[in-house]
Amino acid sequence: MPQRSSDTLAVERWEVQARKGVLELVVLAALWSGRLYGLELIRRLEGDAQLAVPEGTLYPLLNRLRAEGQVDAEWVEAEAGHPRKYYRLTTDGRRRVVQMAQVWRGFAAGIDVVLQPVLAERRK
Amino acid sequence: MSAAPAAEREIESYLDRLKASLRGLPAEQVEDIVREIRSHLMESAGSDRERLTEAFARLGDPATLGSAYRMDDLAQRAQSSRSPLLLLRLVMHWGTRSLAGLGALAVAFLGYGTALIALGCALFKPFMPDRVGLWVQKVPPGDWSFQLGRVATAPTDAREVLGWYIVPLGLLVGAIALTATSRYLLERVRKFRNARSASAVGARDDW
Repeated sequence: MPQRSSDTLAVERWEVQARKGVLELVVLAALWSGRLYGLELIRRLEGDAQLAVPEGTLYPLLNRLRAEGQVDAEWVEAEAGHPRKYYRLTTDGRRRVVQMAQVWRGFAAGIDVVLQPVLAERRK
Repeated sequence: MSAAPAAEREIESYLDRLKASLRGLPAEQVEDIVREIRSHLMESAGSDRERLTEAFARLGDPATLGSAYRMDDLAQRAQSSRSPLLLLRLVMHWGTRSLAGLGALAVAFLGYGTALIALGCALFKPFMPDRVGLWVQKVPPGDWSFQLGRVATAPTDAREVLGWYIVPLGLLVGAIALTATSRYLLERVRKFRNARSASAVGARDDW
């Protein structure tokens, strides 16, 4: 059905917009409880939170966050034989992720209120 | 665990192409990036060919991956220095990659071109007062012709209309064109980078 596919397309396009900037929050928040290396970060996000972050985007982002001083990076020799690059939040990074999390919470709570009637209608 | 020779060759060939696309970044940073991606490939796939193919797919084309690092680096430097030259380099790199970049490139040429002409007029006027100016010529029937800038010899049949006002006017127009173009480009770059990182999350329908 043409109507259906144009709806899907519009929703997909909207979804891309809706995700704007969220990746940074997600990555910074994942580093909250301690240092992680790239692959570990990806597995953490996919496993616990069911969020897919393609590596091709994650590594350049980590590099940018380091250049901005939000995270620190250090190489650690692993038993596996190849070194791993670990990332941890800096003081600036911790401050930023707290602010971002608060903004997100307020935002999500507001949206929930507005969505309630929409979703209630659908259940009938 | 060490990768089998064939897998190792594939990894090194991917990394060579990545390295080639990182040209322009400081050597130290290139080494660091390549080392990190190698570590990622070795650990996520090792010698398993099937997993290696998947790992390559998720990292994407090495040229695109390298380009993302370079764009970030250029954007960061352009944003902190606000240098038109850096911005122009960034937009030229971007312009070869996407339609949006091409549009920004056109704006960059137009805006910086205007600034260059206006500032050039203001700066050259004191040294060659007779050969810098804005000449207007009436061309019948009811038409006009303009000539702006530095000319080899001043046209005899046209009137120069700006006189010494071309100096403050040129400086003003040049400064406005320069800052407006830079601002516009920085904004475009910022939006583009936000949109790109956004489209990346959940690209596999996981949320």
